[in-house]
Amino acid sequence: MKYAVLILICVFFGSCLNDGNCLITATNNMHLQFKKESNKLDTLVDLTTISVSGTDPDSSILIINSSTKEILLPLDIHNDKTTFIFNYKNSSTPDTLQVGYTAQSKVIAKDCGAFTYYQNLNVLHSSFKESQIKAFSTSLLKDPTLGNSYSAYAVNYQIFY
Amino acid sequence: MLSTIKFFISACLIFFTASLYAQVKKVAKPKKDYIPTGFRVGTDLIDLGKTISGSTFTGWEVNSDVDFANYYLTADVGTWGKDILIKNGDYKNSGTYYRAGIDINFLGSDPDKNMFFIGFRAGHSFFNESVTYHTTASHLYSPLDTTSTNPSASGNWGELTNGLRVKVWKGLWLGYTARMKFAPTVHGSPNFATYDMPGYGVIQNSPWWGFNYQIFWRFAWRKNKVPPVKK
Repeated sequence: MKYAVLILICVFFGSCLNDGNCLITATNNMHLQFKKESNKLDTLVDLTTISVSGTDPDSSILIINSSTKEILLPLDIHNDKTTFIFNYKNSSTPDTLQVGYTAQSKVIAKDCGAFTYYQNLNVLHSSFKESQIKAFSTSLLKDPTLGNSYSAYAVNYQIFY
Repeated sequence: MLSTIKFFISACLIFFTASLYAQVKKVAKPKKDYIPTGFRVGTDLIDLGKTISGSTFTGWEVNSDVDFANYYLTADVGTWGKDILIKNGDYKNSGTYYRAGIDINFLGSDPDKNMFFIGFRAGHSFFNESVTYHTTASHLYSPLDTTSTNPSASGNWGELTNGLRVKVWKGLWLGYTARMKFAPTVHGSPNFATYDMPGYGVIQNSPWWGFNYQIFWRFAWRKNKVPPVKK
């Protein structure tokens, strides 16, 4: 029985050392990857601009003007849906992607503060065919230890061209 | 002939030793009296001190137990409210909780019924919480002040406890209870991740710990049967 008491005391003191970490994984950036439909490999897409709904002024534009195989798109933090319009360099027909999501408030710790986690991401409307969009993570998450690189963000969708 | 006498004497000694041992065993194991002799009711002085001295916590807790030989049935009820300034806003909660469980007293033969115990509790909490915070989003969007509420949440947890109860004067008792709290579960709004559950503490910490310094009054309705002293 004395060993049981000793173990219990050790666990009590062990618990005292269990301090919270200020690890913020919240983000409003949705991570898209572009793939080639024929071989499912990375492909470069020539984007000129992406119009984003809900911004101030009413519709702001992300200027891309380059070829890219992946992109981070900021969700509207004031609404539960955001519309993106993709304008291409080599095509006059833009593509539209509207996504919906829910927000969850979470206090990380007293010294870290509270943050909004975006979850239950889903496509509400799109000019892409259903087979062109493959969903991965339905939550927007960032690994703060990896800086601001694309690999720091959970992949949400792959779009096949 | 000599060996036969030796065998006879040895057999007699074994027989008498066994008989004596059996008598000692009968005396050493009296039948336990499981009829309660009284109940104890008290409060946590730390909660009262924190409520009086600080502005971030308000709460009280009532503790009680009743004896069944060296087993004690315990029940606690309390309230807990916090108002915490966080880095980018303000978090508040308030609620009621209760715990029930069993303590095992390892000083069972103490005539004053002093206790050094190890026990288990099951805890349950009803509470509400809210947070107001400022968010600065990356890219394009203006900053946002968010107010989020979790109006009717509830939760459960378990506790391993260890403590002491010492009779100070007549019915007055002092003691402490150290708690290792574990396995918290919460049911509430999906738009709010619970931060602090009344009775448990910060949900992200499991196991978590607690400590009460308690004062009790014991109401006794019958005398405790003192176990016979070994001679």
